[in-house]
Amino acid sequence: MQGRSTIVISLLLHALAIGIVSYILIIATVSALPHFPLAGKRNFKLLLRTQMSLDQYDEFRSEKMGMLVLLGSSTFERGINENTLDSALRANHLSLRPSNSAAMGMFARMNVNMLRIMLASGIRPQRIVYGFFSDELNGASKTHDNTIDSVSAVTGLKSKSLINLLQSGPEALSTMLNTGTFSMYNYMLNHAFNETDHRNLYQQLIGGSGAPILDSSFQFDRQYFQDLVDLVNLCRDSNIPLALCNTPIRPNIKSVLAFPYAHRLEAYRIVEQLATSSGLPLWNADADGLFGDGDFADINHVNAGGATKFARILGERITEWYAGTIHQDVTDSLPSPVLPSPQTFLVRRMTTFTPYYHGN
Amino acid sequence: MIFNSLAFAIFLPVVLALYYVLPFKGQNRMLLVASLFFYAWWDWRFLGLLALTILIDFYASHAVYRAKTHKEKKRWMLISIISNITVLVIFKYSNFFVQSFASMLTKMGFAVHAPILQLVLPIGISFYTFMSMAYVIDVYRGELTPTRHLFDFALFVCYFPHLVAGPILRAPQLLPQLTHERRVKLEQIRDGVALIVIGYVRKVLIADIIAPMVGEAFTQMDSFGSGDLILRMYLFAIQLYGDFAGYSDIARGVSKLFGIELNLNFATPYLSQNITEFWRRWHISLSSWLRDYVYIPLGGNRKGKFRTYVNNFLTMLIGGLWHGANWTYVVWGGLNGLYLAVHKAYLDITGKPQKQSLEPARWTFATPFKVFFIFTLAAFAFIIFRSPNFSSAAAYIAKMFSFHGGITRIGSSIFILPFVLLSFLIDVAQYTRWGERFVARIPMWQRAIVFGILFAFVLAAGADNSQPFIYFQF
Repeated sequence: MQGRSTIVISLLLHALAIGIVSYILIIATVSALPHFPLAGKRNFKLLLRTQMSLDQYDEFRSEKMGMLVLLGSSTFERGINENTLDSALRANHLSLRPSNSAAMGMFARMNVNMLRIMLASGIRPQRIVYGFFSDELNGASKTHDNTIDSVSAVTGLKSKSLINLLQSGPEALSTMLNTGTFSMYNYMLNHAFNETDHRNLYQQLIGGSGAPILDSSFQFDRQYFQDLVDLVNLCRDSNIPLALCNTPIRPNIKSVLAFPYAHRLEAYRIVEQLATSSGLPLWNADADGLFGDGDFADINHVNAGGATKFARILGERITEWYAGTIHQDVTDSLPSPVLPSPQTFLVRRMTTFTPYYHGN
Repeated sequence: MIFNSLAFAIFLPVVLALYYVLPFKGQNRMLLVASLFFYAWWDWRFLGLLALTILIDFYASHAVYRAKTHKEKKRWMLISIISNITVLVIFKYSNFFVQSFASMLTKMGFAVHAPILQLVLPIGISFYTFMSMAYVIDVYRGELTPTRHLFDFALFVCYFPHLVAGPILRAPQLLPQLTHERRVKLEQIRDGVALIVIGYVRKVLIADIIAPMVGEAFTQMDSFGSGDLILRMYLFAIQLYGDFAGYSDIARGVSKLFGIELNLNFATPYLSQNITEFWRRWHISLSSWLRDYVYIPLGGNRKGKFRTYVNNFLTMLIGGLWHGANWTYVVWGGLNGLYLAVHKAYLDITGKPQKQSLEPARWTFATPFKVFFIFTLAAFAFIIFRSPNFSSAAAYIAKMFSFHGGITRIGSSIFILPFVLLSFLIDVAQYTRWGERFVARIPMWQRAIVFGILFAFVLAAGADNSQPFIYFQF
């Protein structure tokens, strides 16, 4: 043997050099990637959103601004242009900055989980708006299949200490070697491309398109409604004012020409009962006449123009809310409206939905 | 124990540390114990079967060597072959043969209930059985003097880097390295570490990342367009190569750290310009084993042209069956046998010579087309290899040739491209003269950075996605 000690030293040096270079690269990459969470594939989306909110929260605090958190699914994520909303709030002299923390495939359950992690991480939002989507209460909807994160997996956000980086850095970086999580990271960091007028093929592919909404497949799922109730309760217990906002659906669904989605009213009334019984603001952005077919990228996601319009509408409602007005868009189905607390002023406006047999 | 496990990451440094402090005899004994421990980590109960194979072949080899007459030599060799084949048949093929026979009787109108044996397939059984059997045949042919020491023979069969997934080594190549005092060279450390990293890159970073994409194509083919299925056919070929060549690289790299050289098992098979060359470059240790112990005994090319084609076909059929107890493997082997026979016939008709060496041929304008054609032939045959049964393979092929749907998973298809490119670059760097010269010129510190970067990707890819080696099941 070529001097055993020489061989052993050579082997150790090789292993050490490769190990050191590997870990330097892992630590540097995980630290350098913006908003990158120390998370595996399972919780990546959830924790990426949380990390993004946490980073924004620190920024807002340094500016002495309150945080308005937008929760919901991709209809809200792609639907609200943060810049436009920020301008609208500024114009109305509100010390509030928006953080669009909605994420594709995430309905109330995942948002409850995320809000818990946010609170545990020290984020204290001044207000929360939850954007609900008519089809999210539908147990037969394929949209729920997009929820890749396990519903039960509630994992805290890890700090990027050296120990954590050494322990969890490789697993975190594995998300960048997976098609799904890699695309998700690109998508979320680019605000779901909601400011992009004409998306290129790649942007369209990673955003996907809205699953078809079928009148024939609506089955109200009580569990999904309970998730929404849990969100309301969590906000109430945490003393964070919450508003509910119905996200728009394309007035005329392409696949059925001029037939609008009939269950939108049915779903809305269920949420309406929750909002009125809890005294929550309820804003219907799906009301007739607000959005036209030209504002949509697909069935249930607005395009860049629609996102600007939606943000303006939301800005007005939030300003009213901040001024102490509880605005509830109600249907004519409620037998006895529940009044909110006396110090707030209740505005109720009838909202209408186009009948199913349009034009008949 | 598998190479891409935490257990192995602890096992190897411990074995290396002991190896470097022990004297020569102690090294061999320690390697034998370590190899048995490596095997027992999977299932200790099968150590007995391994020991039985070793004892029978060790005794048979000496009986063959000492036998006075040719007849007696032959008898002992046949005892060895029969015992090895019996072990294989019982543990690997019994259910396959019984079920196939029962199915045939049922088709003929007889109501048959086939009994199923609940046997676990011992890991690596096809590899060590073939090695041990070839040892006795080599002694019978007078090409080898059997070792006098049982422990040396046991280490030859059990040596852990090759034990469970090859390469299938020959005694004249490995045994002298085990019986003579070894001197580990600095170059072996350098090359060994490089091979280990490259092996993990092939397995963890390339094969394991491609694996889920291929898996979903075979299990949910209805939701894929024909373009997706064609693409995934090629991807499986790259996955299989990465998986198996990765294992072989790690095995060779680990072995170099002990100063022991193992045979090359793959040499840029997907850059082959004809199917015969492909089989000289793919799973070299099995191809050469089949050539020496099946093809040549069948008559090779000594009994006329037609018989040569038949021998090629039969050899590959047996090679297919070696892979697993399923008709899909047999048909995969048969299809490759057909490829080889047709190529041989083409050479005979055109009078073109067949290149024998593994030296890469000069590339011409037509070479990329030839290479792509051979790659396609190999990848197409791998559809049958990958499918659980014929109906699944037929459905895949039918959907592929329906030319309906195109490529629907464009995002993931684009995402996978860098990994495919990496597989190609590694081959060029590792096996071409240009690549070797280029790598040799890189200073050590730069090599450490390159391997460090590659290993970082391996750590990341392996942290959340650990797949077993495909060839473990054989």
